[in-house]
Amino acid sequence: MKLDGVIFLVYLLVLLGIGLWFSRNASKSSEHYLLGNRSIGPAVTAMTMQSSSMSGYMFMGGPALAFQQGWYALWYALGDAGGAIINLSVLGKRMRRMSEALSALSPIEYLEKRYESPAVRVIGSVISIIFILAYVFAQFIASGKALTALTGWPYEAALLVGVGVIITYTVAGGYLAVVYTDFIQGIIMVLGVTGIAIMAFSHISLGEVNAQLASIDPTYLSIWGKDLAYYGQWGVVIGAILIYSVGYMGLPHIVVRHMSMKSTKTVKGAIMWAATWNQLFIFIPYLLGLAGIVLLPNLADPEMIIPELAYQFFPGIFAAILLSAIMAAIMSTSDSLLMQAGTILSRDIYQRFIDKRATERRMVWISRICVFAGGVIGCIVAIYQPPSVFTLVIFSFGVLGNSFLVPYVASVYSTKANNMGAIFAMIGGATTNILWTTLELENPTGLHPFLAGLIISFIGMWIGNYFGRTPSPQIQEAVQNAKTRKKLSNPLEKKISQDMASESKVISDFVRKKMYINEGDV
Amino acid sequence: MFELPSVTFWTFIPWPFLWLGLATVMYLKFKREDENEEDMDEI
Amino acid sequence: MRLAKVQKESYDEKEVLLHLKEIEENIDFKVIHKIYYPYFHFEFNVLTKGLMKKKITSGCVIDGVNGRGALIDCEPGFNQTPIEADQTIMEELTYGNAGEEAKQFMYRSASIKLKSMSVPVLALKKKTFFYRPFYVVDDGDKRSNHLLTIDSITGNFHPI
Repeated sequence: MKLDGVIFLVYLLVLLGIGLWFSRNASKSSEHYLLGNRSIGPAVTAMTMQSSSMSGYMFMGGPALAFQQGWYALWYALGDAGGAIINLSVLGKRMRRMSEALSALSPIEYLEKRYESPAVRVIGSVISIIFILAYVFAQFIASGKALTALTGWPYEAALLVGVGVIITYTVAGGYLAVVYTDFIQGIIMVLGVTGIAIMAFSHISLGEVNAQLASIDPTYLSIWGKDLAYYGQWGVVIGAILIYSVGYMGLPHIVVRHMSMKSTKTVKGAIMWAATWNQLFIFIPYLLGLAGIVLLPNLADPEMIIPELAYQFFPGIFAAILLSAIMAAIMSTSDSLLMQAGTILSRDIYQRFIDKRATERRMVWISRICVFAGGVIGCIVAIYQPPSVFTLVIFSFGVLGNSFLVPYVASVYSTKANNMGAIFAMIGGATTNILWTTLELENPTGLHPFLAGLIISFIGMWIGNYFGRTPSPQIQEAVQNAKTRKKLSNPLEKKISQDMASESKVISDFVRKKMYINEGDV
Repeated sequence: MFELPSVTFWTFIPWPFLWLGLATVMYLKFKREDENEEDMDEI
Repeated sequence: MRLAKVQKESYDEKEVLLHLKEIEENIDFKVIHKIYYPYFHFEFNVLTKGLMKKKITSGCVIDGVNGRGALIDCEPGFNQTPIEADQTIMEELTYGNAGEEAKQFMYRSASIKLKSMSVPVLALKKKTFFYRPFYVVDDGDKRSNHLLTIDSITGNFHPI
């Protein structure tokens, strides 16, 4: 094993050591360590999950696309840079009010309550599980590659070890997570990539990169892709922009952020914050991909640009630490996503619809089987037919976006959107994207799978609304209220306790009934 | 600029500024909304 | 009227109004109802498995109407208090199904926090049924009829 492999092992052991030390020694920590405070819930989990859920993509997918297609890859980045702004502007306030009115805790539960249909929950859960797993597969591949760079093992062996570690870690208990949170890992990744970029671009300026690209192949610099592969195909370009600019509105684990915002007043600050941050960091991995064409002309695997650049510009030990951080981030991302898939399968499907009285032991086993099956399938796919990280992320992100974007947006903008509309939109959107991708309809039609899925999903919602049940008066009222201003003054609004939503609802019903009876007496 | 063909330059470079502009517009819009809501409370 | 176990409130009617006044001084709130809300409290001995074997005591309260759980740090204090039927929300859970909910809730909290899929061993130590007082206040605005529910223990509130 190379020295770097040893560094990686030491890195993991140190993390484990810190975790153990904290849990043994920190005062009062035993209860906190096990149970946290009241606020630990699905929302918090989802938030930390989001902060690093792009890890594999950011390190391998984006740079690889730029390496292969040149400046065309920036279309994806341009959309991504505006994703949070659009997401917060469109859904922000309304979603926050609506989820409060429905007292929904998880994004899938929210859909069930808004559309008043358990079927929506089942279909939503199934789509989420499958495509969250597909998302994890991309992380698996990335982990195999990162480990290859670290240890020098062949990819297959590194992949099996990487996935094996991830699965064991998830199933047996993710102790690393105790202190080393996803959030911190996200920050380390961003800092690491920025560091590499500073080194790379102090070595060669962006202008020089472009000049050399022009001498290698001028089409690298065009907006239509290498060899002008997408020349004039606006349907593909628009899809590439839309996937990350509006797609976030369809990702259940990101939508949950709106539900957990402190107040509707949080929105405006969050927009500015996200906008600035994104302009600074989203483009960097892609630009490194472009620099890679010039700096690493003999690179066999485009997804290895960032690891290779790390070794080129940093002393071996720093590069190894950086890669270890990447690997740990990938592990943590994967284990959050795997847990999420396992939980949806056991709670939202098995316990709710198959065996209501299932014991906890059985539920845990169902989650484990789900994780294990995901791992096995993931390994098989990653060894025998490895798609690129980019393709896999675009595919799973696209399907999730196509399934849920229209139902989420319609849930707060339309009083007419109903159960059948949501079902048609989810199934239509998902199926279209899957068919478009697998049958490779992008080239003959000139339409990006995401754009095609979005159109069909929208039509599905529109047609489905003629067949479904009209939403109940309560839901219609809730949608109306979500559109307009909130009920309370600013200082009060800021301090509302979301924890109390369900009690408040019960008390509200009780008080109304009481008032009604009293009025009846008069 | 940056040795890019002008089509590529002018197609890509404005985006970050457009996004920041949009963010500012939305920020001001929401700010006004929030203030209106407060004014209505005071009436 | 009957005697029931009621959690000791940290805000009485006057203090609740003062508390709200601190947050929003421009509105004169009035307490219009005091409501007793049913809860179950369960305390468990928790034995975690794996690398970090540990025996700890932890508890949770289960909402007596819709079964939602919340973790609590220490056992609440109670008074025997006379309560009126028209102030009291009827519980919809029994000790049996509330206990089930409590276990599920503890397992779930543990697994989220630990990101772990192993099951800790739970042994029930104590169970209690009690009411927690809530206030319903009115902001005096006749047109809009804004009501707030306020938790008399934490001072947290939520609009109705």
